Amino acid sequence: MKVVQVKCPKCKNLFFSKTTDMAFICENCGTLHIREDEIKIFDYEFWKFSKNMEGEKFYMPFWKINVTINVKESKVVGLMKIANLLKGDTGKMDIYIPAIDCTPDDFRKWSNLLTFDKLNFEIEKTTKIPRIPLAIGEKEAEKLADFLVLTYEAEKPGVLQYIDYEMKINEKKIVYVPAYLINNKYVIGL
Amino acid sequence: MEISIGISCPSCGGALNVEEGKKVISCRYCDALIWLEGDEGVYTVMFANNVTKEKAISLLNEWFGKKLKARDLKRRAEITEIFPIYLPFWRMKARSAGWVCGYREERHYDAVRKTTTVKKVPMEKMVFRDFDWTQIACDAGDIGVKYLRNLQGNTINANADQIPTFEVTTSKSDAINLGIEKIRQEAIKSAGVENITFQKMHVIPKSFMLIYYPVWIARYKYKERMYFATIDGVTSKVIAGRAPGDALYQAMIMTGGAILGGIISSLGIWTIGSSTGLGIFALIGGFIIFIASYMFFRHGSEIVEGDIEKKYGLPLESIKNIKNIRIDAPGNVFGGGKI
Repeated sequence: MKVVQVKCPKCKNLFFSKTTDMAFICENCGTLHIREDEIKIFDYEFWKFSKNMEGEKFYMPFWKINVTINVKESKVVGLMKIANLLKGDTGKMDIYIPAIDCTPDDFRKWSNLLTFDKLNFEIEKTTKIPRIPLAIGEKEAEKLADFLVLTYEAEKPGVLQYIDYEMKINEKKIVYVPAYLINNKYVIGL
Repeated sequence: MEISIGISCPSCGGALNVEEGKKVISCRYCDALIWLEGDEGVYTVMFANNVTKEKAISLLNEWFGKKLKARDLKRRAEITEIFPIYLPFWRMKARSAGWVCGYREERHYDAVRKTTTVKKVPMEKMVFRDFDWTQIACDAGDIGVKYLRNLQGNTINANADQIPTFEVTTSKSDAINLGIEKIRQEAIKSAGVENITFQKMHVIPKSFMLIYYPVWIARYKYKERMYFATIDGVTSKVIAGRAPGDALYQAMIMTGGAILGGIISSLGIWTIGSSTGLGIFALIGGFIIFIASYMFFRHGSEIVEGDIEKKYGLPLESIKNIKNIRIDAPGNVFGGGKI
């Protein structure tokens, strides 16, 4: 077994912390890296708290994945058959994947909130507010993004019977979204 | 459970206890973050054995008197050996995320119950749930335990080398691949789409571990023939076994089945003139009852329980066998046998 002290892949600064996390942010140069099969550097940002609520403040990590979707063929039956109009459609969108261990219900709620609701936020570069450890790796996030794309298509009017689509990932970054811990539940602070 | 794997902190040299399966740890002396890689170790859990030898014998005696076993079994059975052993099981917890699309067929009948139309009702079902899968990780022979029925109990900090166990014979990577595939199949099946036209199911493993689970294996003699039973060391239940059947019960079921089957079949023949469908249905039903009672008569000299191939069985039992993966819920039975 290989045992190494975590160090920044950019400035080689060594990491010291009491909490463990899959996403390491260097205190020296601010670089964020994730270790899975290999060490990868990702862009990231913190969104400022805009709501004042009672509860402990945390930053909740999300994967923000920009994808290009190309629906080559789809067969939809039932109401309006509107989804047939998608044939050959191409579009870009940002999908937000909660990167913490959460229930399926919370996953969908938070993912939909950030993906579809245009939330107003400002960005700050650094913060002392604790981060919830990232638990969803890059590969897992890609699978979940694919699932959400399919969900958005399936939830359009009509009953999906067949779909052939392509999802191309253009960009991946990690965003830390403000959250309050209230009665053992996280509430988005935007 | 923490297992010391004897590593030193690369920053301060302090001795560290590493929880198996963890990738990143913080040194308790200097707070250095340490990354562990290239380890094929698996998080291992061992359950405490709550059953003593006396209790196991008493549970076995209780089991002798249940169901259709020989009526004198309790009196005449002679326990030749009874010992505890730990069985290894793979356990995977994974989230399934996907869609299953297709249709079900809706049949419409006319006044004389003849099918007039078959309508296709389109379906699209999302599956986004956690599943648990378990499977025995060794060749335990014919002891009737293939998957874990219970995951509740106290764990102990023990080493598999110090306690009698069956050796793990399946590889971790094979078990992971099998677990993913079984969960994928179960997730698709859980959507309940009869005729599938499109499916895409991602399986995202959340945890994977090896569980050492205590069981008592008992062998006993009855009329010069050997039988066995397996007792759960955590829940104190007899989970599998072979036992002699009773000739009286066999004869009663054969006679009762023949009478009931005959009556239903006769009613069916009598009804065919007025309602052909109902008559044929009753005729077939009567015949099935007769065959089932005959199968029990022929093979019921031995009663089997647990994951053991039965010489006979009713269709309902076969259905129960394939439903051995359950959706994650505390206290539920988990499993991963046939799908």
